[in-house]
Amino acid sequence: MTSTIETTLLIAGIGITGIFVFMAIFYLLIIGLDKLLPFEEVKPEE
Amino acid sequence: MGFEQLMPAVAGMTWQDLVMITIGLVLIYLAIAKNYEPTLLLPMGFGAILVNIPLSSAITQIDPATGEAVEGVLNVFFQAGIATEIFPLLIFIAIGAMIDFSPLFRSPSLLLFGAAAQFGIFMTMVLASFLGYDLREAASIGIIGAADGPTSIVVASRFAPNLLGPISVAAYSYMALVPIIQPPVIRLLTSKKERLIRMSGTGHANKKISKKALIAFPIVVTIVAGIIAPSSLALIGFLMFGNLIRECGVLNKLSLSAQNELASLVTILLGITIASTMTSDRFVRVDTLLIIALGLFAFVFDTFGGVIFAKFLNLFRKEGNKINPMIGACGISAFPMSARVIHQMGQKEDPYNYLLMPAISANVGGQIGSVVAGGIILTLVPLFA
Repeated sequence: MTSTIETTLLIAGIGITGIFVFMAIFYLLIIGLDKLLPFEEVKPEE
Repeated sequence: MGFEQLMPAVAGMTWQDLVMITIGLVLIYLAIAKNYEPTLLLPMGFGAILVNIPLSSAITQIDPATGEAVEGVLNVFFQAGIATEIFPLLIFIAIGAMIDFSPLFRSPSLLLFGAAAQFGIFMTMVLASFLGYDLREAASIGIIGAADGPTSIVVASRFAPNLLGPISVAAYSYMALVPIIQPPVIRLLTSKKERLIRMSGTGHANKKISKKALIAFPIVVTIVAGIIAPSSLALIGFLMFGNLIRECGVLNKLSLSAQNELASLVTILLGITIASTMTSDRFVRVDTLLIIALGLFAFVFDTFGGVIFAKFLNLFRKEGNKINPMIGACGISAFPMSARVIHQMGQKEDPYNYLLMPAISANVGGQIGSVVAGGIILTLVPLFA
């Protein structure tokens, strides 16, 4: 196996893991934002 | 006076130029008659004709009298807009202004399909290196699998500007061909029973999302992405900037301008400028066919990655809460085409199965995933190259 192929395999491994890590972080961010800033019905002023 | 002096363009025409002019005509036909990504394929097709007529003043030519280069307008556009990455990044602002992230807030777990369906990028990258491309070229070819034209252009213009033409043509053509590419791959990987799964258990279709959360999301994502991978900031940051303009509620005019005028103007320039790389000497090569084949491989393996990931998750989910594996295929960035294709496939199997909402959520996840993938490649490749 040439060094280029070894390197691309390594990048592929890190890359796929990296995307899942990023998306998992974004998932947690969405959950966190949804908890911190929940939807509130705007009550009409009397 | 000889024929060569009278009609230099005709005299200088080679068979390769004719092939490129034919390719230009085919792209224009596909754009107009088949409606395949017409916003990009039409300018690219016309540009391909423009740059392959010998002595065209649209591209840089050497003046035979003085021996000096006379710059063509398309090369000027290329240097100003693509080599500097300005055009694709402006498109990201426009795309950001078009994206509504609220489906992700309704079904956040489907965001992960935006990661799984980037599998084809890395598989293609490995295959390209097997075929003898160097690391930078392999990464640029692999990014066709992002199913995201501007990301492909940014990566290719940075790592392999010599391959920008075929990579752009492949990226945009396959995005248009999603309805043809994805269904057979999905049918091959799933059973009828799996395709009939209804997704009432994931997400809340009618859940209302707070405006504050939608405003905070692009800001927080930019900061987090910037801290983890600063090299990805141009891509993610411009996308999120566009989205912030959309969600903030005080820049509606700018948001509409970004979605319409900015998107249209830059798309015109982007398409015709990419064509400046589609000259016969660069394009009529075995390499081009290989890149186009590798692009198809990337799209097939994106679909594979998404579907198999959904099947894997189903191993751990209870009956009644399973994911329809077809949703995994929506994790690519081709929005909303992929979601629409999957919804239609679901309806074909069972007319009462409505997969559109989860499909849209996964598809929005794919839009983020493709940009993240581009950012990761831009970060990783220079470290190893």
